[in-house]
Amino acid sequence: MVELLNPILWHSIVAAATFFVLPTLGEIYAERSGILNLGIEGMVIAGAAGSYAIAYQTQDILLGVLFGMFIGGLLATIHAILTITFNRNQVVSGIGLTILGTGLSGLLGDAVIGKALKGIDSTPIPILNDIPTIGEVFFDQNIFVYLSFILAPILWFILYKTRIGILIRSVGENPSASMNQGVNVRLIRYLCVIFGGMMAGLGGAYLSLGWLNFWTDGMTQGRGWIVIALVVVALWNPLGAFIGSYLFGMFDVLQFSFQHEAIPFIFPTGIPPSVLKMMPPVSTILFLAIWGIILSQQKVKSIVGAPSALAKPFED
Amino acid sequence: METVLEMQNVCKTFYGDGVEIHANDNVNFSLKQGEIHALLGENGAGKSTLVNNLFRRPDSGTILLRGKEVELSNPIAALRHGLAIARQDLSKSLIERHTVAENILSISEGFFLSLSRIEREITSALNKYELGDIDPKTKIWKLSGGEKQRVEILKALITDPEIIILDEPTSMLTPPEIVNLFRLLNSLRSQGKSIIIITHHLEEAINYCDRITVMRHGEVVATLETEKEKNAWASEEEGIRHLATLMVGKEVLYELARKKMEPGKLTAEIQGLFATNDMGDTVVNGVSLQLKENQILGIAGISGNGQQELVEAMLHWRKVDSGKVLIHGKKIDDVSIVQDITGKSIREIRDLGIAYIPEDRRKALILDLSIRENLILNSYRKSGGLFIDQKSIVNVTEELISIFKIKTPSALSSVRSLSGGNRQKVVVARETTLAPPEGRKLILIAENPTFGLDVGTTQFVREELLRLREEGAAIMLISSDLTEVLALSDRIAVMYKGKIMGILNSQEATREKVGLMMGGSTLQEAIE
Repeated sequence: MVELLNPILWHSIVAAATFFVLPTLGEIYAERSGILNLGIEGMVIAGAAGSYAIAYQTQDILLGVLFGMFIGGLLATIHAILTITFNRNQVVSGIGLTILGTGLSGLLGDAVIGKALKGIDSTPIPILNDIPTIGEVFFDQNIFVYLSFILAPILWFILYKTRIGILIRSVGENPSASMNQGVNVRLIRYLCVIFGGMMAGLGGAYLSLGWLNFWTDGMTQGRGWIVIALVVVALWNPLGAFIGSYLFGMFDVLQFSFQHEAIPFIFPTGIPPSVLKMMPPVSTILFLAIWGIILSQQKVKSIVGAPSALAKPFED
Repeated sequence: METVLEMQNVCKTFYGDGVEIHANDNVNFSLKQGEIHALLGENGAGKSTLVNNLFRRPDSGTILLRGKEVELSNPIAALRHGLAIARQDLSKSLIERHTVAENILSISEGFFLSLSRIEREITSALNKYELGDIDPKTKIWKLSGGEKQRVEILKALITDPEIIILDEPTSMLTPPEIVNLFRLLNSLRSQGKSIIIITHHLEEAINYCDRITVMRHGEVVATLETEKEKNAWASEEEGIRHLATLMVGKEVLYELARKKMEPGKLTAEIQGLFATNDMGDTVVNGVSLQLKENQILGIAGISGNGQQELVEAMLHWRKVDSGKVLIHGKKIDDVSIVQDITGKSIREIRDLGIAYIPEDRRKALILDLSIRENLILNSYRKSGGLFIDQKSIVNVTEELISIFKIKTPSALSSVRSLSGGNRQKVVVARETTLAPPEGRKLILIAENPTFGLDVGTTQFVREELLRLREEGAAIMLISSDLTEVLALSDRIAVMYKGKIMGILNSQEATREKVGLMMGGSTLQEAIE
């Protein structure tokens, strides 16, 4: 039987979940401003390859991370130009960028496939680290994980308690009304989309430099797509980003731990890996279906739910 | 009096569907300090475009503020120069999911947001301008149409502007609220503020405004001094007729000849109907009504008081929670048969000869199909079999296009290429020619059938309703335009918060009584 209370297991769940938290936070901001970015997968994977390559060449991890964010931001800028300035279809542009980002990752990472690099060490936080179990699970991680802990509440605060936050929400709800009040709709959307891309790039850098410590083609295994679903699960709330991310982080880790578990009658010789691998996508679909039913109620929709102007072209 | 605002040779052109629309063609307009200036014109005459030029650059022309040329390229620039506008289309001006306070951002500044300070300012401004009690913490979607309109007006006033522009501010207000609004505008005028008001109600322009500018086809036709003109007009009616003539460009018959007719047989009946809106709130609250042949039953009320849900529940577009909709008499001499159509399919209901003109024309037309295809949407099944009888369709639709004077190069043009008025003519042509089953007369449910139409088409639609009445149709006319309801109806039911406040016949119904009932008074209170 797998030791479910094993701190080491939970330590790796936190590490896996952090990968989902960072891009989800970025995509929440993009969608809150009304722009759907389906190119997250491309930005994550290009960020992962780019940051690993640069870090390997220069032996400077920080430079690598910054480059990963730059690549993500650059791809997002293309999305912003197409969808905000030229009002093109957001779905088409996003999918196109995923293809572009995947191709770019092959190019950037070609030279460093399988090359070892010492990644980012964990930095235990004094005092907090000494709390039994919890300290081990949460406070003996690397800087990326702490960043996700800090960023989520900060981004929540900005979104709900500051002027720029309400402008972002207004622009995503009703761009015409915002413009009539003198808000620069396009500027805000540009900032949010580029920020989203940078967060996706940061997620990619974490994947290759902070978590798995290698680069290989297609190493995201489609995790970028799950981010799109996580935004819905999070109800477009930065704090909600944790809920879905940790759930999916759990699936990610447990699929290895449960491989040799036998379930009487169904899988007497252990759960086949293919079944475990199915868990994340199947649970995504289940989640979205349940959420969809709940959110389709008009009364619920007027309180929570997708930003009203999400993915709608806006011409002033 | 000093001129505060001047627009010289302003032009604005829109491009759409392969046509250029000169919405403003060398328009000159001036606003004096301390005046209320009405801007009149038919739909599409360019009124909203003209005032919008103050919030985004026009294609060409100069804008002078107190004699100095200014460039007002965006709403912020306008705000800084002391201009504010309450817009007509609230769906593009208010954010439904946000609170009143979150909607009024123009008074917030800095990085952090102090909603409590904004909320206090809103409450004190509401009191100052006597715009009534609205909790600034309420979400916009919870407000009624009139409350939303007052929030929009407050949003303009709260910046303390020198020039106030109101684009159709009274469409959702009750008559007493309208009186209040003009009292407020009067006091603002006496403080030296200058006000532009766009309106469709000519009597508002005559009674409350200092000057009136009339626009037609993107040009200014005339600017009148109300006081001077009033001396020349024998009565308010003559003034209205004069203004209407200027707006349309030709003499319009403003009177409708409603022949006296005895009410016919009872043909449809609503009994204690309850229905909810999309939010799940009960907005149709035990409505009972009767429709008779040769009669127009008017449903008066400010829009958003459950009228739309009532109609949708009758026609099975919406679930009926309780109550019944009954159709009397299968044949003309067979009064005893009563059919319950509650919960029947839309097709079954329509096949009984029930026609429907919805307010939202997108509910009645498929914009990308041709005029011909749209005209046969409720009769194509008569062809039978797999194929459509092309020949008879061509005959029928060509006839309808000529009878209803639908202006189009061809029956094959898409409905999208038509103007709003001609689109409505397509709907009216199709619905009013719906053939009821043998021996029955038409039942027509018309929901704001003249909404957004110009004077000419409005006249046409109203005459059409009266013609059908004479032919024996039972008509239910839901309208938020009180003038229309009073002019056309034999009986008037006033709806308020989902209830029928009372039913008056055309002799006893006056603008005042109906107006009071639209604001929630009972029939008894209104008579006293």
